[in-house]
Amino acid sequence: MEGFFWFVIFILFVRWIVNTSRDRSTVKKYQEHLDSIPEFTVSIDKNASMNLKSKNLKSFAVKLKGYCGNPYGNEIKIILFAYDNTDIDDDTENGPPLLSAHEAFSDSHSRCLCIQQKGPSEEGQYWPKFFTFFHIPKEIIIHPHKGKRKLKFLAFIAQPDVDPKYGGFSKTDYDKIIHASRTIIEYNFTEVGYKDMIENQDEVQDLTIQLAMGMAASDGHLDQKELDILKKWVQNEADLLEKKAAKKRKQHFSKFIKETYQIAQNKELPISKIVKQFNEMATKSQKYEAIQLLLDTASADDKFTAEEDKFINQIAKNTSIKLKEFKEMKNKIIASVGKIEISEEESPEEMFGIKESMSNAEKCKLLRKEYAKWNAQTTHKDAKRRERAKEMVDTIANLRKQYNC
Amino acid sequence: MEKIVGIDLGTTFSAIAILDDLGNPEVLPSIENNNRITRSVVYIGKDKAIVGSKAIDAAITEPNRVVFRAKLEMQNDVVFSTKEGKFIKVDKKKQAGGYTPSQISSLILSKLKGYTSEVKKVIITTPALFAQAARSATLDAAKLAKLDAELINEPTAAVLHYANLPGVKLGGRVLVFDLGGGTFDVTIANVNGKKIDVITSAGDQHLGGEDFDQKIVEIIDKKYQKAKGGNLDKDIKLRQTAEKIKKILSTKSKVEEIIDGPKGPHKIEISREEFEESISTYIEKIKMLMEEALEKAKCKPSNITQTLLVGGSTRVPLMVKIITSVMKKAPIKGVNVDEAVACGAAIYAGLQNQSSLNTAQKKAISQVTLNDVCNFYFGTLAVVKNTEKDSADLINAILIPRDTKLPCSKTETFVTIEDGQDRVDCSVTQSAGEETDRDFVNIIKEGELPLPKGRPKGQEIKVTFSYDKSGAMHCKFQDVKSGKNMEFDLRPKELKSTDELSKNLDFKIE
Repeated sequence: MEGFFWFVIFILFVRWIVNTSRDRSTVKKYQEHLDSIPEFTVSIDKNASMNLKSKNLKSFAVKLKGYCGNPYGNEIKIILFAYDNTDIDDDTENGPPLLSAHEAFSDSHSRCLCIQQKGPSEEGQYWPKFFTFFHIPKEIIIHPHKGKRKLKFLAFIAQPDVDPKYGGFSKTDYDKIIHASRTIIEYNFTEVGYKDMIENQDEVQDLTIQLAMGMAASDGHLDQKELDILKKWVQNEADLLEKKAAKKRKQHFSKFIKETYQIAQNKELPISKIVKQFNEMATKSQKYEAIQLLLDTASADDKFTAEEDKFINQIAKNTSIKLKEFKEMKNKIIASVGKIEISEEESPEEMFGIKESMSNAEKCKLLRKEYAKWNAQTTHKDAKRRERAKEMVDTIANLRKQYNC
Repeated sequence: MEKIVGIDLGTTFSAIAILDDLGNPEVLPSIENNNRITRSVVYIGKDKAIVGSKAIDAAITEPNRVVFRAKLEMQNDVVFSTKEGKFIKVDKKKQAGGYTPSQISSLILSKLKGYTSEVKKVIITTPALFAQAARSATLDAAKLAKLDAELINEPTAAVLHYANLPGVKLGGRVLVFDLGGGTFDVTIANVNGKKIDVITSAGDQHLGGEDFDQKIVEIIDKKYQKAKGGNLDKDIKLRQTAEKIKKILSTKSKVEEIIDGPKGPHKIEISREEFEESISTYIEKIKMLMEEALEKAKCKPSNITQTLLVGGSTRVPLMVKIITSVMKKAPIKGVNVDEAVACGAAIYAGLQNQSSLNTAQKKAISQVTLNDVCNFYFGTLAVVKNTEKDSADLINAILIPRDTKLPCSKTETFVTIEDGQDRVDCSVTQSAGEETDRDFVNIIKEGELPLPKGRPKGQEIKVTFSYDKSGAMHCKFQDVKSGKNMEFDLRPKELKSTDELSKNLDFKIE
């Protein structure tokens, strides 16, 4: 009996030993597994591309991996900001933020670039490998400075009610951040940034005035109506400033316009030098603004001459604004002025976007689309627009004849 | 017994038709000369107006008092000045006299109305791409002529007539080629017996037989100048000669005509080739519009079972050649192309007023059904971010696309863009093309919806446009949170008062 008792004790002891070592090994394995889960990490692919409404856009692909679980709830918010840290040594600090030209990529309080997205979550949840979480189209990014820059991307996993603002969080939201990660990349911005814009503002305005004056003088004489357009523009620019600064700026404009007028009268405006400088200093939006001013100046006398057309085509080409946008802006002027002449450099084919590389069928199809556009304008309320539209449809029909469509 | 009639109010000719006792459309002849079509020309005398070919006779002695092509001016803010002999822009400051296109058209309608008695209701045809303002002006004209009117598109009326012809069974997809005196429409419809579903229309409001006449005038002038060295007076007489030459060239390959000019008479010869070459730009436009309609209907020429001809200008032989070349088969010739539209309008009049029909008439049109589409894009103005220019642009946001089946209703949600925004724009836009640029659309109604003050941006504004079969549109702009809304009807029947319309118009009509 006693022998059986010790036998049972022995069996239990052996089982205890086996179980204990098994538990130890499970804990060890579990620990190893936990150790293998990466920390929440963000990575950026700066040479990515995305498809949006069947358009292929260049983008920054934001990749995430590692822990993303919320121990306090079943939902998380993923947030991303970006800064230009070129002039900052300590990467825990933030430089000026990147901004967004589209509100879908900014917080609800400012234009600071911010991606935020909610999703379901459990405690201990993680992403084992990097995967692309979202794309930021490059065309919506407004950067602070031109040139080779050091960009810092900051990603967070936070409670779902966190409300990012002005490229960061309010103090009350600090406790709601669960995971954070940052990454630094180098990127070369070819366009002027918004901080550059502030620095270059005065100079760009002066260059714009010179271009507009060059435009007004391109047909051989400076018309008062053209000057009035320019004066209205500088007035609007000055009105954006504080009272004292506005007064000072107006004085400058007044003097500068007089001087530029004199130079333009003498046909001594160094247009190519002005364009080069303008191109280096102006932002994309300033370029479009200048082109609009040039078009308004050109059409002020209800005529759009061949010289003006040639001048503006060259400026648009050299500032490398999008041809489609330029064409739309120019079409508005073409549709509204009383008289137009197209420059010899720009054939009717060019005016409608016909390229030599196109097949005959493509040319015919393109002309038909242009015809549909202008034919619709032949019933516009405005008589001048109707007449212009009729001229345009005749030009298109004659081109189609040439191509034997 | 009161009658329901159909009227084809054309640029150069007009016609009136009724349903006969058996339910067949019948064009009513003029009581003066028995002509079944009436010239859309009006002479405005001091105390009388003359409509028809007699008005053209008056043009020889008093050209400034004769109005041609009033239809082409229907949507414009113009008046016919008997001083200048043409349509001039309304000068609201001067309040100068003159006759609106509606007033001129009302005289034509009154004349046609006189071909029968007891007209109760009328269906008037308009080009498919007639703008809202032009449709309203047409209804104004009807009101002035004391007619209760509804509108139908000309090519749609023509298909109705074709589909209703005894012994004809249309099937599949048909293309209606409607080339009149001043306008051109091409319409594609699915036809199954007498069931008609319009798919799409394309058109040019400045392309028709009168443009061809003008080209002949230019040829004559050029030839006269070359031979005699003087310029011809391009008056109504010369235009009538040009029209005559055009008609002869429809059957003969060349015409010889003696032209009287400042340097004496001269015999001019014009060949069909010359004429065809002179109108080649118009031909190219016609081809483009046919291609556009085919593309919009998502079909190839081989999918079109028949091409139906409508309008007097389809008699120009080149039209059949062009159609045959584009469609790869010849069009159908079989009805009077001058009367098809009026006849279709009479059938539609019967359909819309079945309670007034006798049993035979009801039976005759009992199988007919018609589903039409919206011929324009309708939208509103909204601000969107232009990421390329980094600017906020005011654009035309389309709610109802062209070719949407009627009736239809579309709702879009917009949001306020500024904190404390206290109003939203409630404009309604119309365009023949798919335009986002606000400068390229017509704003047909303007308004504003006041909003409660002190609210953050992002407040939802629901915009609903509902368009019915009669061409009436109901628009609603609603602030979702407060429930405040702005509603209005945009219908061709939103007419001016008769007093306002009939100013200066106290004529005996001949």
